[in-house]
Amino acid sequence: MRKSIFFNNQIDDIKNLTEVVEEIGNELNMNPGEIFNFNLILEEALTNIIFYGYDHEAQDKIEVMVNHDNDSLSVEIIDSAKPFDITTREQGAHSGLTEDTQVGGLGILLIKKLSKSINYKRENGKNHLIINI
Amino acid sequence: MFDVKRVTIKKFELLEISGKLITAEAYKLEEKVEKIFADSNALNFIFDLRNLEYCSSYGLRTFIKTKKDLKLYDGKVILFSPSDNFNKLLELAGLEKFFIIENNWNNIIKVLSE
Repeated sequence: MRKSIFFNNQIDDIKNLTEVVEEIGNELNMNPGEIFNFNLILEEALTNIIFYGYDHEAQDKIEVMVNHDNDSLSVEIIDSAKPFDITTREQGAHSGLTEDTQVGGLGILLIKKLSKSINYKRENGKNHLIINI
Repeated sequence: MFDVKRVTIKKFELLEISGKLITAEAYKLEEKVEKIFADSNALNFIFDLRNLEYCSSYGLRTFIKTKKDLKLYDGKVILFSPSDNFNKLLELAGLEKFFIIENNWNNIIKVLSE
C-alpha cells in the first residue's frame, strides 16, 4: 500500500484523522491497539507541526504518505513549516515525565516511545519526517 | 467527537467522558472542567473513562491540569476504569502513578458516600 493524504495546516482539518487512520488500519488488518498507536503518533506529529511550525495565518498543505510493504509500515510527513528536527530534541525516550512537563514535549515523547525509528531531513525547503511504526 | 455527562454528589463531581478526545476538541473539555471547577463547591473530581475510546496528549493535559488545580485545595482526581490504551498512554508519559486509578465501581460508591 502507498497512499498520500493531505491536510490543511489547521487543527480543525485533522478532526477526521481518527476515521482516516481506522480505515487504513482496517485495510492493513491492524488490531485496535495498533490502530490506537498509529493514530496517536500521527496526531501528535501533525499537532506539533500545526501548532509550532508556522507563522500566524501561514497556509500550507501537509502531506502524510503511508507506505506499507510486507510487515513494514511507515509514514512520511512532508510540510513547508519552519525546520524542526524532532530526532535531535532531548525530550523523550529515556526518562519519564514530571507533572510539570509541557504538553508539546509530551507529544514528542509519545512519538519517540511508540515508533520503531524516526528519521528527519530538510529538502527543498520542506521538512520530511519519516516514522517507522 | 466526545461527550460529557455531569453528576454532582456531595463533595464530588462525577464526569463521564465518552468518545474520542482529539487535540482539536480537547480545549472544549478543558473549558468545561474549568467552568465546573469555578462553579462547584466540590473539590474532588471523578472522571469515568469507561467509554473513552481515544485520548491525545492534549486530552491528557485536561486531567493533569485538573489534578494540579485541585491539589492547591487538597482535592483529588480519580480516574475510573480507563481503557488499556489509556493506561498505556499514562505509562508512556510516565504518569501511571500520578493519578488515583480505580477500577471497581463499588469502591467509587464507597468514596462517594463518605
